[in-house]
Amino acid sequence: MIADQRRISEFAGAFARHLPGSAAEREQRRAELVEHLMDAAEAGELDEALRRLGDPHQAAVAFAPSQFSAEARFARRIGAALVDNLPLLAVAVAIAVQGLARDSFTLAFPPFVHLQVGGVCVSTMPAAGCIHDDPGWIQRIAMPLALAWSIVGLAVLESRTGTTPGKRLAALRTLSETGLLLRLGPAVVRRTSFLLGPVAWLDWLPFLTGRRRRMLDHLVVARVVTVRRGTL
Amino acid sequence: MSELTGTASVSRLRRELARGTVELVVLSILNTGRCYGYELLKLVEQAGAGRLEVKEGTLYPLLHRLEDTGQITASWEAVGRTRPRKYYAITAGGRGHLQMLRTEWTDLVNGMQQLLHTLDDARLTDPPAEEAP
Repeated sequence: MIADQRRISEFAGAFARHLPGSAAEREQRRAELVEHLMDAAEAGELDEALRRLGDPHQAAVAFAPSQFSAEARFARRIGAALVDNLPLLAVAVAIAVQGLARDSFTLAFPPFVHLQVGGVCVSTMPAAGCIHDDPGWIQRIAMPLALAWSIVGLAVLESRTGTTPGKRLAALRTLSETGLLLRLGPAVVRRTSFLLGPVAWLDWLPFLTGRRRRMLDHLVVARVVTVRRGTL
Repeated sequence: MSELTGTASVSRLRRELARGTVELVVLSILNTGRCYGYELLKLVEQAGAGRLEVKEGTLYPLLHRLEDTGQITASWEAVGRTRPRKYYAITAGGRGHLQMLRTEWTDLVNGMQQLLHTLDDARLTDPPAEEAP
């Protein structure tokens, strides 16, 4: 029985790492799986039950909580996105103010990205780009940090908890198609549109046709669903 | 080879039938009393007499969906044991839904039987012409 308990504990630990939701919610799902497997072990059918469940990932799909939740509407998602990307929004405003002083006013969100690669300027802003010898601390420090937060920071949070500060406020959760946590790779990929400057808004075009996924959501097969408040 | 194909198609048919009927079976069992997950799985297995193949991957998503839609409730209780179990019980809404499912199921079975009898009768009164050698 001790060997069975160890097997169950290891399986349940691996299982819980795939589940979205709050710690309490994940613990409840884990407890239900453990109870199920303990009952199977008591009946001498643990091997059979584990075979039916498949690997921990497949088992997590069976116990995932939000497979039937509705995909979130545009207004709720855009509200969450604005909260999540406040640092990048602040950078966009700072660049605009800086531009006023330099007679090159540009207000763009997400801001245009300029990169000096071996004397060549790579920029998402046509005909402008790296025009200043000294781009200033906003371009050199604040913008890379804000972009790192928007692309990598939020993706790490999303791949570990299924949510971000803005999504938590809007009661939203990002999931894979099977209702589990998105892995880090796809979570980063669906945020790379920020590198395109204002062109990133094209990613939201599917919402105009009534669909509830951005283009990059479709690419990585992710869903943003509404959840009951208090369950995040 | 044809026996293998036959077994495979019977298995597929049973899986498809199970997918379509498991909600009716689970609600019918819960209508007789509350159950925990493993107990439900065993009861479905017994009720199906080997013809209804239901796995955890079908049962638990169904239970969670029925819970989300208010047709069943769940509560953790330790009944005569140290470890608590999650018990599922049908609600008044669930009973209404079960009644609707039973009506649909009965109509479907009756309709199918009528269709098969009609076709059998037609075959007996008008046998198909023998194929030319």
